[in-house]
Amino acid sequence: MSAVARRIQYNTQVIPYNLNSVTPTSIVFEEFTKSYGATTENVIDSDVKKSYGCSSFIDITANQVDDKWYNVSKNWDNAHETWNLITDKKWELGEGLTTSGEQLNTSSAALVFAYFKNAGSNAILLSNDSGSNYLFKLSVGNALCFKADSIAVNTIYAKSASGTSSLEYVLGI
Amino acid sequence: MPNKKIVTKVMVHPTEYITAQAHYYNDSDIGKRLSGKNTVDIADTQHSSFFSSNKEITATGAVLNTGGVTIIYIMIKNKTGNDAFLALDGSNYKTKISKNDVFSTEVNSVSSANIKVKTGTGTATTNIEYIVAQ
Repeated sequence: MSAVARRIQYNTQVIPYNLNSVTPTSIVFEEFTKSYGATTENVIDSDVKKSYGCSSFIDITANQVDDKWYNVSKNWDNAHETWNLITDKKWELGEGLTTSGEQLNTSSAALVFAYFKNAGSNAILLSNDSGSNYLFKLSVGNALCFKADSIAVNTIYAKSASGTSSLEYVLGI
Repeated sequence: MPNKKIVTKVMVHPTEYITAQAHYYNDSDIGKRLSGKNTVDIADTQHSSFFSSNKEITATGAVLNTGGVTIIYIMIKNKTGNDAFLALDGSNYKTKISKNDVFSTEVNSVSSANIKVKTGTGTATTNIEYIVAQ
């Protein structure tokens, strides 16, 4: 948790889609006719008309609060005799969550940057007010990052919406 | 099946500076790049204020989606110079969105009346694009 300097690069992409129906059609070539059946396709949303994205970085403090400033899944090995069937063997799966709210870190230092990913199998709810309200939601596989303003690290709580789940997180000061 | 959906991807690369090489490398605590992706199905019919390509924000908190509906997804892009601050509970602005940043998240069934954005104090303004969808 001690380094000369730390920097976090972050990227976000957002693509709004409409699911459009494609009517059956036929293209008549000289030698044959090619027929296409009814199907659907994703097109850029007709209201928004564009996608969004950003790429930037933020410098965080070189010395983070303690060893619980992050928790991410890590592999200790992966192996299979056939390369395309290699299975990751994880020795750490991120923070295990239940439906009871859990404080991720007890530090009262000011939070600068936060990253979360749902690495489990049930939706996760996040709170930035010490567990009073869980207003952020993370579906399975989804990630979220944000810059924080005027909140302490210890105000971040997480819980599983049902059953149990697993959370990867970075809480940078 | 809903016809409208939003596909999102977030990628984060924690790095640390190594003086001898004068370069940032993978953070040796975390050890890897982090990412996640998601598809959010939103309602086919949205309130007319669910999207804007140019809304001016002042130091007074502004409700973005005025439809009085339950929101499940937010995207905000800060287009110009001053920081924007987001509240999900109507009064506590705890998320900062810097110039050119895109903030995207699912929310846990939040009332549109409580989703507000403002700049800092004084006469600072900025312009944002947003999607606040039910």
